[in-house]
Amino acid sequence: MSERDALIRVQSVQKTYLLGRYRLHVLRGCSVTVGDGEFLAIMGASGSGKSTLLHIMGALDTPDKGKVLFEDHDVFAGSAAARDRLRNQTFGFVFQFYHLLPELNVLENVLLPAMVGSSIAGWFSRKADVTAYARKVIEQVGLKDRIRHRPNELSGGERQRVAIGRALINRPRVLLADEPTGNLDTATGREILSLLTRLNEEGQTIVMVTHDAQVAAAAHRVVNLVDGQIRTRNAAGTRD
Amino acid sequence: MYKLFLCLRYLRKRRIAFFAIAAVWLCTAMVLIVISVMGGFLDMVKARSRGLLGDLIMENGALQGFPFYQEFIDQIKKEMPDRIEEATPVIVNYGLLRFPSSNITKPVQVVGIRFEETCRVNDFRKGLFLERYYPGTDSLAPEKIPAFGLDASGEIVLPPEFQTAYERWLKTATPAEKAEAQRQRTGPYPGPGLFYPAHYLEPNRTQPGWLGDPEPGLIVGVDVCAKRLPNGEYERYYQRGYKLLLTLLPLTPRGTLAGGGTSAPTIAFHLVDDSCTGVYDIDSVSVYGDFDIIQNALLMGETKREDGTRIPPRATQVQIKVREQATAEKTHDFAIETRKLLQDRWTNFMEAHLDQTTEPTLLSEVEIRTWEEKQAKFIMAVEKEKILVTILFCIISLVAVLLVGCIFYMIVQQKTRDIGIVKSVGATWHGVASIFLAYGAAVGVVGGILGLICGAVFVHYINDIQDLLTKLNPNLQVWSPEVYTFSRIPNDVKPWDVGAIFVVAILASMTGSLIAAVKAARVWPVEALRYE
Repeated sequence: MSERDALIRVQSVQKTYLLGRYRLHVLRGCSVTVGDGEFLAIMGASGSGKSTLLHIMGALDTPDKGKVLFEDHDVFAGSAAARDRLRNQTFGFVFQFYHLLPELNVLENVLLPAMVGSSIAGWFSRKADVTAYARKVIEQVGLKDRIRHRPNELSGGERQRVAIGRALINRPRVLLADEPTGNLDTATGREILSLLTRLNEEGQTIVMVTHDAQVAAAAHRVVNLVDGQIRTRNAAGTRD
Repeated sequence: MYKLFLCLRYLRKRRIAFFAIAAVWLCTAMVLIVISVMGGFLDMVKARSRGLLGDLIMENGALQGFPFYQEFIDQIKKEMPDRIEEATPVIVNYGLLRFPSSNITKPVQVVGIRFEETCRVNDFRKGLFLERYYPGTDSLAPEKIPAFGLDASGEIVLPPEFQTAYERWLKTATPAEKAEAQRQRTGPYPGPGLFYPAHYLEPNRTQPGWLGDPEPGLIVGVDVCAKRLPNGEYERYYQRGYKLLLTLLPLTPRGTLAGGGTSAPTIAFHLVDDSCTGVYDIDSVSVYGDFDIIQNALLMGETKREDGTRIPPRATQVQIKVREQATAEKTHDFAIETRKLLQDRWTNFMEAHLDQTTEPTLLSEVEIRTWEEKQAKFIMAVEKEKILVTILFCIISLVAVLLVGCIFYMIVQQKTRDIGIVKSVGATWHGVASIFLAYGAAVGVVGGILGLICGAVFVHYINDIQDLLTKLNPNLQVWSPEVYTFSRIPNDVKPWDVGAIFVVAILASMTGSLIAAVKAARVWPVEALRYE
């Protein structure tokens, strides 16, 4: 992939956490690019900073140094509101622990990002279209019969499907998945992976964080995060 | 959209919020009850504290009064017909009232009035008991004792003046008023106050008419001549025509007792009616006689010295009614404007008359005040009481704000992960804050509406509730008509109060949720989402 085709470019990002009196350098000049339509896996040991990198990439966290460019625009040069918009419109997050709102049913959880991006008037003008699309997405993730169920009535795999549906509702440019199979049994994890693969085949750009090489194998390209820096090989063995 | 959606969803699903709603509900109801009862009490006090005062009152604060009152009344009536509707002199002094049949003597405040003029200046007529049922029959002029008669069938017949007046009242009275008249036993049947009992017992008296020697009439404050019952009604002991003896203490223009205190005239009166202004301090001491009779008895009338010079008559007050305007507020403003004009006129008038009196300070001390100013001490005391009680209950209501704050803080603590989720999908910090502020407002709206409904219902039925409690246990009677002079607890709920309390309930709930909202807004999504 050439620099010109890159959708996201992470450039020399540094991130340090203060743990009491100690500074923990999580990312030490980390750089990586994500191409449009690519399925990228970020691998690393536990505590290596891969989730932090994903959060910074998706404007959920801020770097101490370095840049994140999305379509050549510096994500952190704009306002907080612009980053909020970016999280809402451009990125879709899938978390290891699903992170669904327990008070909402499947449809409502999926619709949440659409509601966040709408004013009251705007919502009522597009509610029918968005709801129809949400139903389609729910069907796509295989939860057609569970649309009115609440998260506590769903299995882990189903919850993760809802999380994927929620991530897709605003037709994001990039799906950021943080250990999407980490809390699932092997069979269910495989189902989720095949769902992600299918989405990628349909053109969805995906960045996935995992510590499991078998899971990472589903991606086009794999990068390793070691000591806060990217040391990479893709799944097929080509260098980044 | 998500703010409204999540706020409503949390309202339904978070049961802990019901405690916050209950707190707002109870406090709103409590404040509405307190404000309505105290506000109603204040309004009644204000309305009744006017008592027998005109819009404007001229007086110098001296018992011996001031001279040239009539000249000034004539002048202002002539010069300011567009402003002055009526003006009347009043004498206020003190005396001893004796009920000869019972040998009871009471100290009283003697008020000399021109009956018809006074009725035009203030609401005196409205407070008269018999005048209500026999309109136009009250008079302070000397008259005999009215006596009933019997027709051929033995039915009671009133003297023609009373019969006609009663029939005239019957035509205009509502069924409720008629029932009230029957209950008060003031109809053609000899009710209290109309007939002298001796004549009712006279078996051969068949012709209604008038008996005895004419005596001047005296209207007596209701609490002087009747007993107030625990239910707020009066038991009247004395009938119309009952003989009363009034002893007065005349003062010289200098303010000394006339005749060195040895000349205290006692005048015989007939009881004409009783007056209820609603203010116990007035009704328990006041008696009202004819202005000229009281003036002459107090040696305040016009006299001539041995050298032939004239000592002008004196009055202690001049009560003035201004022309009514479109609203009470406009009339009030108009009265204040008129007072200023009168003050200027009085200054000129006084300067022109100073050399005609031996006591110029009686003129120079005259002040013109509105009735509110005159009664300010009394009204302010109740107003301050209302403010104090309202403040106390608002302080108590702060507990509800704190409770809302605690509950919301707990909710935010429990919902930290959810806040992180909402932020991860693009919610702004102010959007998240507004979820909890809107949640607080929703708690205020729901609690406020419930509280206002309960409070309004409670206030509406407050007298029935008290009656029920009193029936269960007489010691539970919290409102004593004997003490408050109002027979019923005020139970008007003002729309303005309802609106204001509702807004304050919402704002208070939002204030309670403010800290929680700020905390929610400051949640760092990465931290919130890091751990399950």
